[in-house]
Amino acid sequence: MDDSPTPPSTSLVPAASALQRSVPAAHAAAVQDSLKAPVLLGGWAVRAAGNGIDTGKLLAFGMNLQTWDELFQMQQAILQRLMQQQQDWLRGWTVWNQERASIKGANTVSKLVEQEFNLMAQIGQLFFNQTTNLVALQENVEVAYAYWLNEKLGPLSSSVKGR
Amino acid sequence: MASDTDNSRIVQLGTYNVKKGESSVSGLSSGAFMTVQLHLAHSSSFSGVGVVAGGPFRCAESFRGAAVLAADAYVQSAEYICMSPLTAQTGPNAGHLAQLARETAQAGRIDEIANLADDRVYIFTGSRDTVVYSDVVRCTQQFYERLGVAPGNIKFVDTVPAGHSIITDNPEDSLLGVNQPPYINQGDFMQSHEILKHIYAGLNAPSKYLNGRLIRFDQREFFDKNERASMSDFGYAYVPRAVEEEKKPARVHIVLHGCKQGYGYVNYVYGQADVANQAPYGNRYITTTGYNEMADSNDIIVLYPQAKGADGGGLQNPDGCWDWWGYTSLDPEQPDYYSRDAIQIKALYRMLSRLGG
Repeated sequence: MDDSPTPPSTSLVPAASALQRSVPAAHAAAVQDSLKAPVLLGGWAVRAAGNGIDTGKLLAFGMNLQTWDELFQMQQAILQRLMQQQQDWLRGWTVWNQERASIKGANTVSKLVEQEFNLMAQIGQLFFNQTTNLVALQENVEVAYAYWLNEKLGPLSSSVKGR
Repeated sequence: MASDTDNSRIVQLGTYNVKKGESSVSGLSSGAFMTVQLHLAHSSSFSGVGVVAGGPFRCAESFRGAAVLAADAYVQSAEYICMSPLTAQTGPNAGHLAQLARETAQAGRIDEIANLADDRVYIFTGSRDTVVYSDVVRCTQQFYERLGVAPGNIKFVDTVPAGHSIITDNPEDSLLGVNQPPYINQGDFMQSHEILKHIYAGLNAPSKYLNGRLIRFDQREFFDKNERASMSDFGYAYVPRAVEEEKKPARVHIVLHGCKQGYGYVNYVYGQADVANQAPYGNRYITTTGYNEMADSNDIIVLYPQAKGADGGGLQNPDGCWDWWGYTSLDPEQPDYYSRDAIQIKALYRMLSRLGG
């Protein structure tokens, strides 16, 4: 029986082969994703244009005290959610500072590297959360306003209602 | 409880002496949306429901104009109209959705709306819920009223300062006002008991010690092992001893967990399943929310079907939610997630039928 160890170059072959096999599917998915971006951004543009047209129609035909009041409530809600997001952002940094202060000395280089990378990853997570929350709020405002206009204008609206 | 050996088995879901037409269902969040859908789809089989932080029927189809593609429009409607509307006016429209429900019934896709009239409905929204806002849940109350449910049969609770959660009195559960997984928060009452007491009059006090059996069954037979169902391999059921051994007449209560609460839930971190750190939230939902204690003393079988997450491919359901926006539908333009033909609703109904309900 041959007890000689497998040469390192040979043991890399299965992993390299698996990597090579996974490339086409990843490439196809990346292409598909790149096609979705224009659809979503195009949808955003269509919605923005529709909101502009419907706002004009509402101003021309349908403004009254109630609609002004509802618009004011919407603005208040947006402001409230923005303030909540800022509070979460500041709270996140407070927690990060506490974490930074509580980290004790590492006994190994690998632990030291891990601690530093963890702190950097937490910063990345804070920015990620803040960005996605802001984008979600923006999308929420656009959809909510379009929907509200649609409810107000009914058949006059430029957007399609539900079923 | 029976021996550990019994509990470790995977069994086939059995048939019991179940009173027909007296079953009920309750759920949290996506489970609450599915509760309303299941209720309307098979209203002849149910006598009551518990909706905790859930919206009305076909809410996700509120605004087709939200996006160019139907699937995108329904997800955006779900998120921004049916979960976190800015104001009540940008939330779901109860009148429109009630009319849609009537049309769906007339088309024969759900049971007759008239079946709902004498049903008992418990609806709850925490006043600090920032996942499914209270405006949405208020709309669920209006929706049921517009469909003819007697106002006296509806118990609507919106005064508890709770976050998005089912409430228990377990000391280890999350603080009442938080909005975070596992969405099981600590209050001063067992919400499951309140739900069951509202649905079924004259219930006995919950058992201090369980005498029945928690069974694990293979639920794949109910959705023909179709991955599109986004359901786990196993479901669970609590069967009281008197029902199993003495064949006493029983009722079935279906409990639908919310997103991130199935036993197989795995968190996705940077888009990848974090399999090394699986949180066993699902087991807590099955064993600690108080349903079993109430069921034990009142001859109620509790059925816990389980959804599972999937991200990528054809399914976009990373949090393991029940389908209330159409992710299981074959044709996004004509979603069927709400009807008797929906793959999940069909599976749930087949489980109920197997139990005898």
